[in-house]
Amino acid sequence: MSITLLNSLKAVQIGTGIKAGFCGKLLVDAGAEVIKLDLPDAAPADHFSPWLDRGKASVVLDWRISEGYELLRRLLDTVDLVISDLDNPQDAATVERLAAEQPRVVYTALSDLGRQGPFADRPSSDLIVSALSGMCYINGEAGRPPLREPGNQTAIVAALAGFMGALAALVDRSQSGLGQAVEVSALEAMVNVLSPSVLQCSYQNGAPFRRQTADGFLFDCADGKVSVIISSQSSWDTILEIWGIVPDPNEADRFTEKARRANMESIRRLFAPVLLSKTRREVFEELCLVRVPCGMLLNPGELPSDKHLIARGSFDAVPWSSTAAAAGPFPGPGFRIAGEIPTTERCLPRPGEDTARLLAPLLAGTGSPAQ
Amino acid sequence: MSRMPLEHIRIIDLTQAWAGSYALQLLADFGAEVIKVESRSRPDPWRGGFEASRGLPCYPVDGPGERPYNRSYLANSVNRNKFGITLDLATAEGKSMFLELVKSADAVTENFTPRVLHNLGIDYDALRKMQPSIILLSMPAFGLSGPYREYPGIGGTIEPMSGNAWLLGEHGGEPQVSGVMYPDAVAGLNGASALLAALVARDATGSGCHVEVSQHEAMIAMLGEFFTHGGLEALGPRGNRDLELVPNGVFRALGEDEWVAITVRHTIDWERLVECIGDPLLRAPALRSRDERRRREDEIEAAITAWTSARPASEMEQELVRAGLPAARVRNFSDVLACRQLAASGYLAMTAQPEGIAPAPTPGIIANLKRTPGRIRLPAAGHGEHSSSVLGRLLGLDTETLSDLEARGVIGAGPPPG
Repeated sequence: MSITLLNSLKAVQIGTGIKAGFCGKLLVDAGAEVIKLDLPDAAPADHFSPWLDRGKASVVLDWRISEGYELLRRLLDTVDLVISDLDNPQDAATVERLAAEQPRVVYTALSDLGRQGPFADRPSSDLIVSALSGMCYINGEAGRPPLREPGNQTAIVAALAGFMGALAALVDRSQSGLGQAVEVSALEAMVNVLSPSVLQCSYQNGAPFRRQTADGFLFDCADGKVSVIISSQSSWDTILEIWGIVPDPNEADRFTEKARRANMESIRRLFAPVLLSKTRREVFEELCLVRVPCGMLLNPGELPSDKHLIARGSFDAVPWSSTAAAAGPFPGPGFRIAGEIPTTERCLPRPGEDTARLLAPLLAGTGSPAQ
Repeated sequence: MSRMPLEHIRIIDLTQAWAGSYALQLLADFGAEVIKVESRSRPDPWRGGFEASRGLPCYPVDGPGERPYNRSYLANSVNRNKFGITLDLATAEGKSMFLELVKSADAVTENFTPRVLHNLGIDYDALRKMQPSIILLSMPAFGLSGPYREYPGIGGTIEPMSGNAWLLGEHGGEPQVSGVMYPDAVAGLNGASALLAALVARDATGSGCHVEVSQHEAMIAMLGEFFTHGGLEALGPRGNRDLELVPNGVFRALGEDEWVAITVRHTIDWERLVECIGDPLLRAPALRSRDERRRREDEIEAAITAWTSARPASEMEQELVRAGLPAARVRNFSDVLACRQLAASGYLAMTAQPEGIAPAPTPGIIANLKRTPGRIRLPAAGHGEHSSSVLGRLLGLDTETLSDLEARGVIGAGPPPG
């Protein structure tokens, strides 16, 4: 899916990780032309490719040899942005050096733990970033295993940070005429995301800790669970009124505004007769209409058929490929231009399919055809 | 000192709580002049209310103080580098001053449900009349269109609605929600991204636009990898398991609440792990195959736990990293504050806190622009703290007028008079 905010921009994405892949996807989603550049011996497209690579052009180029190096130099002269998560230091240094030769290019380097410092050379993964940042520690139940967010979300957070850094540098370029290098580490980006917990630790001597019960504000209903957030006295009063619930006066002290947080089990028992007679959707619609925040616990597989997401065109309506019907539809971008439904039709490139088309105009004088 | 990339950008910010305030802090960190507008009578809920007794448990250990609404770690973690003013937008006078501010602004930001701006008479069309190239960023829970558009939502309801809570939980266990209102932060990242994209577009075209972030869609976008997976409906809580990497887990270590995270990326990592653990079961040649490891993941995790549970996490981290494996002791937030990597990069710098709170380490700028880096310049803005200085500077109001407005509760800091 794409919108038209950045359709004046051209970017090269180098590296096979999710960090660069998702940053490139954000650019495509926002309308930029993105060339995914791979070395010939790069890992083949994996099963994440349909998620990350649709709408990108694919070029395969060996910049370790002189003709390829010269072609890369010429290619970078034509772009605004270079996004890289290369973890081979020599390859990364080559690309960075060539990008720095172009005064208007914004070069964004994405790493897991930072490119300098004591952890720079440590092997890493999404789980390791999550473990080092505090994200793992705070998810799950007290005494039970800490949990990362599902999937590779630290890589996506780093990609969003890289996207922001690159665009901030472009805003600066519009004033100064100059590009620059931007660095993002997933570890730093995740610690930034967790700013409230980091500050809480200083304010409250080591807190926060994992909760005693991790289901928190999820309540059972007739066909699953709903989350109900009772953040004010008026929300509490509203719920009791519309469901006709009258607490036992002997338990009244458990349901005061200050006591409710510590008495979730009592609240569950109080709500159970009503909730177990209603579906998720009935509870969701009923509470939201009276301004009490409520959410249905949904399996991701239920999302593409959700009436709200259909109305908004939130998922790709067109299969990404006739040969892989099991994948997709995929969720669209996290932002859009108001009133527009993002366009959905775009293709997954075959590896290297755009090499000749995009490099041929750059070939004059290199003495070698593109691969 | 170098200029900052957004130093020439002024944003009038109506957002509240985590998602919007975080988005605007990210932009303020890059140098934008962010003017946070709150109601005189109803402060940002993340301040915890005017009176501590009604608020969230969000204060420093030395208590809520005289102005508890300026001492909440929640609000203070996402409102640095901003100016704080109050205006009552429901009054003609407050609305008029707001629209005057818009004339010199590049962007306006808000995270209300869609009807609110319209009802206040300050929707995108009204803003464009004041400033034709204005950018409006709207961050409602469910977006500006669709059947749920007017429904309220916060992180704790967005997370179940997005599928994240369905997948978050111990493998084979019950779904859980995150330990923090994580979807708010995700929406914040997307909000800052959307506004930056709109600024880049304006530089190219000269035109502003109205961009929106559905907090719901922003969270769903984090789960794209799961939509590559056939049989999505059969997926449940995954623990720390990965679609690609086997094993990938957090294992109990020696000591209370001590854990070690280990990832095996490929066969070489697997051989390294087997060598470290030395369990004959894991030496089976068939387990060099990722598919076979996937089939026997329960068994493998049990064998790893038998090894880790008798050893200190820090020692295992050192041993496994020395062997070339991705491994880490799981850090709590005290550990994060002491992280060697973050200390070496200077990412956690001691920064001034408001209201007499001792300086505290806070995360730095989310992306490091080498030539024009962002900076931490101001502590978190107090409720209405800069009302007189900002309105005097930008609207040319004299001291007498400002005093009168404050006396009548139109502007000012803290609870309204009376």
